Amino acid sequence: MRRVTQFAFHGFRGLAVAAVFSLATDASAAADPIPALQDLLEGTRIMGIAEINPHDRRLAEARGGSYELSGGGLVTFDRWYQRLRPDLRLDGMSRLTDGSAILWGISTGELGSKYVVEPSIRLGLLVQTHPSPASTLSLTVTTALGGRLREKPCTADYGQIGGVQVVNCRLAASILEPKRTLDFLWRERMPDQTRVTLRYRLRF
Amino acid sequence: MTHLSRLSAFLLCTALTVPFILHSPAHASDAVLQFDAFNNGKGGGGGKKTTDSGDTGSTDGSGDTTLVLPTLQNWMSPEIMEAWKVGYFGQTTTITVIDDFSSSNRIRGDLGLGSTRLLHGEWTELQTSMIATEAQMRRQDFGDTRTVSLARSGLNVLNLSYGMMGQAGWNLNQINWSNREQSIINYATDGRAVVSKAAGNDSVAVGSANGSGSFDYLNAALIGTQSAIFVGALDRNGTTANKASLAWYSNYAGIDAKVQNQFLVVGVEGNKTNLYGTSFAAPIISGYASVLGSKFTSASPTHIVDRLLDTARTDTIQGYDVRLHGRGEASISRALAPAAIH
Repeated sequence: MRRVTQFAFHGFRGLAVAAVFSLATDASAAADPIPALQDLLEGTRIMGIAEINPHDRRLAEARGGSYELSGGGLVTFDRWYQRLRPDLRLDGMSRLTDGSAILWGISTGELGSKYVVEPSIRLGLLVQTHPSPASTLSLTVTTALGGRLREKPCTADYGQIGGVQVVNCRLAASILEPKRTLDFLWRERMPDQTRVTLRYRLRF
Repeated sequence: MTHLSRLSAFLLCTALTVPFILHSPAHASDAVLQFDAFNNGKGGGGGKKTTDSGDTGSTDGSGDTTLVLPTLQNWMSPEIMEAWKVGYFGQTTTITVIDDFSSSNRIRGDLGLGSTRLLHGEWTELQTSMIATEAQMRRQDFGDTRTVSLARSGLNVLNLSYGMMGQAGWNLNQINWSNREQSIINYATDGRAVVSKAAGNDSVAVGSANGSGSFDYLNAALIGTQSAIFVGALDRNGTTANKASLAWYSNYAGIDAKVQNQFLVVGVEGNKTNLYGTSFAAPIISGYASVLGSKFTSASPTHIVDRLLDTARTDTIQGYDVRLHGRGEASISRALAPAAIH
């Protein structure tokens, strides 16, 4: 554990390597894999189920948008970017040793009329030590796979001047050429895809 | 036959309270510019032509658009800023301003870039270019009566902030037009260019003689053509909460259904710019047409004109009356928007 805290000053990549190395060292110490697996399962805890969409901020902004149609009718974006199926995330932790654990999580993804958030999995490692009886130093490294936000296009009818075209729903009334609005459809990775957290707690 | 010598080109801008007419330069004795310049005659420095344009936009990979937007000036409708927020502004379009670029008649005004004195044509060109910031600008001076040439590709827009004035009573087929006016009329008739024509400042119906018996024969020649719009002036940019009224000087649509059908109004906020007159209404429509042409790149000039006319608003005008306001107040945001989306 002391080794890990020394790596802490080598930057994020160094931290991740140190953490993985630490895990490998601990795992190789287990002589019999079956009891080790049993220990792992016994030490597994569900940390919580939550409705969390990592793209929620962007979608919330979009829901506030609107524009007028050529005839004056108002189009509000909330119906396009309102969630129809929420993103449910299950987080858990499996203890490896007294001072380390695997963090894991899965999410169902989210669906709206004009967007999809793909399902995702999250894996990570937690190592912690007590430099003194009153203090705790912990390092968490997590990374996520999936969870991309993909925006779906709309079909817009511009009448005689532009016909019916596939467009970016948000930008259909902008000055952009309709087909060029498709360049601005969201294709976004999950924010904070890899996260490294170093935490020191002192009780007094 | 009436000869051109009987017609004069008048700029369409107005003085502080009394409209006046500036005769065009020597070569343009056949044309009359109609304009009204507020505070005309004050001293001041030369003008600065700006064709500053906004960035064409870029994406940072996250789907966001990063733009350097032009500045919304206080004389502009806020709608144009909505149109600018994303996109590029008038590429593939060409605006030709036929106006006074060579006389000594400078007018003091301020379009938000500082008070200065410019020629009438410099003002109308600047005004248009501040709306359609990426459009290719061309100018043809009144002294040049040759055929107006069009760009070979993209939408062509002609800005006419002048009228061809003469004593009323002649038939149009008696007019011996210069090549310049004849080409403009032909382009409007054939739908080859958007023609944005200042309606005039005599407070009469388009196609009628003014109080002194003068008549705008160019207006008359453009009535019923495919791609010409007559542009009148409102006293401000209207909103549903703060409706606008026809400016005191502006010509209006009248009872001719053809004129009503091709007549638009826009706010001319001379209290902010010192520039009054329908001379400064037409460039707004020229800019709007260019903006539309950059979005709908395959649309014909007639389509562009129809779009502006069809999407005009009447709910932003106090006491809307088709005989005064024609189709209503031009709305660039509605013109850009789809009729339906799902």
